[in-house]
Amino acid sequence: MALIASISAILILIFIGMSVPFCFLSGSLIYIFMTGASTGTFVSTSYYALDSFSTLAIPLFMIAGTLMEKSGIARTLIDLAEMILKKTKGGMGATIPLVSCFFGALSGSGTATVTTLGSMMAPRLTELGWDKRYLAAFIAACGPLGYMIPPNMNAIIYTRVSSASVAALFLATIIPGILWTILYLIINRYTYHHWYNPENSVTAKIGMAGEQTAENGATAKSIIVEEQAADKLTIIKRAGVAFLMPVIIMGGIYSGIFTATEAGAVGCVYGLIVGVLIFKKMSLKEAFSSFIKTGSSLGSILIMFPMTLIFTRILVLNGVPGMVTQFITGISSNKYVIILIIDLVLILAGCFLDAGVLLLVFTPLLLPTAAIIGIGEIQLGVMMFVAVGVGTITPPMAMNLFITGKITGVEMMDMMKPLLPFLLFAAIPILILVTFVPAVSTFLPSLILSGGM
Amino acid sequence: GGGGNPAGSNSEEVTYTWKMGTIYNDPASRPDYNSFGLSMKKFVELVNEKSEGRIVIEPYYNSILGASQELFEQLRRGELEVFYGQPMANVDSRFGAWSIPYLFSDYDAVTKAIASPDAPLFKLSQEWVRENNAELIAVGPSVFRGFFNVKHPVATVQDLRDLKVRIYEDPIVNLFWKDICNATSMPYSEVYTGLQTKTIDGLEFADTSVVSSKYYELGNYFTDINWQWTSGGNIIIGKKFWDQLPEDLKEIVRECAWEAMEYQGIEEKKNKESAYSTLRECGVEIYELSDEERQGWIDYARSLDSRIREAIGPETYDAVVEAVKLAK
Amino acid sequence: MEILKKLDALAFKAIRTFAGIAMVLLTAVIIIQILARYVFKVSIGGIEETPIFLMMISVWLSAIIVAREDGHVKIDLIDLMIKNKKILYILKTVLRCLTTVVLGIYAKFALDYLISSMRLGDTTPGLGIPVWTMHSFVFISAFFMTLYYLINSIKAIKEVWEWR
Ligand code: NA
Ligand code: NA
Repeated sequence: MALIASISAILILIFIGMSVPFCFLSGSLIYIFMTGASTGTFVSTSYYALDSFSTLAIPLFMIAGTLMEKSGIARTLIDLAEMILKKTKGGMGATIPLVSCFFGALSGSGTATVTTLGSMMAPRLTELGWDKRYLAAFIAACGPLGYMIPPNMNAIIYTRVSSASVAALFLATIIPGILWTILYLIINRYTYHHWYNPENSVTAKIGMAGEQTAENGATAKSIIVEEQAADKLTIIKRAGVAFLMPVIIMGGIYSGIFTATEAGAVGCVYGLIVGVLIFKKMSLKEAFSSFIKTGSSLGSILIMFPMTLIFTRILVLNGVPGMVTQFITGISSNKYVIILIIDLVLILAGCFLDAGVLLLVFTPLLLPTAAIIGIGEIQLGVMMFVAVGVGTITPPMAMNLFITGKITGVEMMDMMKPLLPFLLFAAIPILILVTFVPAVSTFLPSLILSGGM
Repeated sequence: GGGGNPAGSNSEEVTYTWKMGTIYNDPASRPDYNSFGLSMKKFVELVNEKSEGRIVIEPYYNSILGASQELFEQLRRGELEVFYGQPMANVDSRFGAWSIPYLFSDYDAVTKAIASPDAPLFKLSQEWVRENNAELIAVGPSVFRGFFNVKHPVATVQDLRDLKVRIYEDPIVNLFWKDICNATSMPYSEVYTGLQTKTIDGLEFADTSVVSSKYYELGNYFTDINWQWTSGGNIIIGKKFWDQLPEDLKEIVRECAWEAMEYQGIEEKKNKESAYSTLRECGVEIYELSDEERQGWIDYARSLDSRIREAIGPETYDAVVEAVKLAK
Repeated sequence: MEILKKLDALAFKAIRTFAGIAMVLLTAVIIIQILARYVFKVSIGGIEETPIFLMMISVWLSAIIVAREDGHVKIDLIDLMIKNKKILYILKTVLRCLTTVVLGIYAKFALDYLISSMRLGDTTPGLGIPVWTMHSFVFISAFFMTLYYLINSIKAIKEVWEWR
């Protein structure tokens, strides 16, 4: 009874707009007041929730991500993707998933990927005649690639509530991440023409306003192409510098020079070197502001850990993980039906809950059920990450859509039509793939980390 | 907490519902090489049975209520009723005394000195735990820690020179390892991958844990240096919960605890034998030290004595050494 | 009042700067550890807990400045559903008050916890710092978050009151 009351209270409070961490705190307090249970572990639980070496990777990869943007590395990635795809059909649209992948190799976060791409690519592609609604939806949908391509911040959160290894999880999402990108590229190829009209481009509009002749237009275009050609070498050189970073990070982790957490610090140093010394795009003062930005936003991101953990403990002490197992296995004893139910639960939960909550609260609830039907911690992790990704683009609670909406000024409802193909033919199929084919997740970890997973 | 049953006024009918927390694995999902988890399960079953339902203990494995430091803290603050595991030395430096390197020569010495109700070091430990607001009920034979690595056989202290060894935050562990190898702190969850990628080359670990953690899949070398006996099997009850228990129930809990701890020792010894054969089957080379080689390790440990004595507290150190001598 | 405003601005700046420096130190300590392992082949005992502590302190302190701007993660879904600005504002005021109460209770727990930690006198495993100093940040954070939510609530109530 008290449990149901507190769970309902949390959901209602989240829905009506109370700050999420304090919704969980409220729910826990409601439970305590209704049952008279002890409050003595509230604060110790929240204190120890953050006391972990692997959690350090979160601020480190966040700093590294901010440095990516300021150092000019992000710009280089966009230039490179444009250079590669310029001549293909729907090419400029295809740069979105490609840059997300590139950026993902440097950043650990889907949110950072969406924010960076949204602010750097959306205005430029709008100028070229792409529909804002499509851009907002597509960039949001590509967010998950930012962590499916390692490093992966969600993997770090996941290790807080499971015993899986970060290094193995980093490898596990690569294949599904690449498949996901390919599906996006295909979907873009077949739907882009609804959303792209070169006549809406800024140059075309200027051309019409100035009653420019067709010839003049042609010369203008050829000038742009020439400029690009002259830049090619610089772009490739710079891209080389940019891509040295994932080589150092992943190479360092898998050749045993440093751990996944330490790799975050190495990424920061590399970002600093590139930004300050090589590209000379930022001063040390600007670099320090990246550290300030991350440090002062930790309170909003990591405060989720203690506040949700207090509530998860209450769930655990009331045997909820066991109940979940009983409930799911009660519906069917067929392994595949159970897996489908887990998927469904995750998709539904993802509609209403934020990524951190999904990982921190649902992992302990689902681990026993997963164990019964033979889903390992690595595979469950990948399932969770894909589900979290789906959750970021399913309203009402859709972080990525919020972000691109804010940047582009497009209403969330207007993004639904262009979003639907990406959701139905890429994101959800990938979720089904990783749930039914464990090898997609476990192949790379077992190959590279020779030894059974 | 201890919930009173409103139906009865006499103590016979009061039931106590207790939470018991540990970092050890749930034997339901990890039945093999899990003497700690199994003995905890045994204890819970015995108490629930022998008290005829007057005490109901609910077990929480896998650090689900927190890691050791957090669990022991909850215990001392009266938030957790029963803790199974090792209280850390940073809480009370005297607890470090249990893990003085080469304090005990074998399990027999352990039983005589600490793992039996009248053992001198057990009595002493009970005093320390009591001063931490808790009651030490029983101590198990626990485990000795050897050395596992993926690079080359290790026979002497000098053989560690070129190895990156995983350690964890603990004054004694730090003292012993930091000067003889390249010691690196690493969370337990990263050890397997750390060994695979060679971020670390090895770690001090019990033979049975090498099997249960599947490190043997990575091949290679184990040496029974048994440098440390780790007091991992302690059943401890929070003071206020212990004190409110009627004498007959206290007796039942004590009995069950010692029976469970004895079971831990039996399981561990049984596991140890099969661990060696499992490890060999999996291609791990097991190096058993000769008496002379072992003496070399002991000599190294003894050279640290003054620093260890300082870390634990001279009085405690002397009292412990005395107690162990007395038990022989 | 002026002094309070100045203090508020000062605290805001101090926390941001502290968090920035903490992040720099945290990165540096980890880099030094890697270098120590490979270049100097030594282990630096005890310091590996410092980055974790720096992170924890940053989390608790920066949570205050997030609370100051009522910026903790929330969903703005209700804005789309309730079009009446006044009702929306009243709802937000109620939520702020509720948050103040909830945080206030938590702050009380944090104080109890801190006091009992001081009595227990534990130290950290690596550097042997008294654990209560770390626990104090939970209290400081909870206390000031409560304070800022209280101030924001009072402001909101005043505004609602003036509509009459
Ligand atoms: Na990534
Ligand atoms: Na969603």
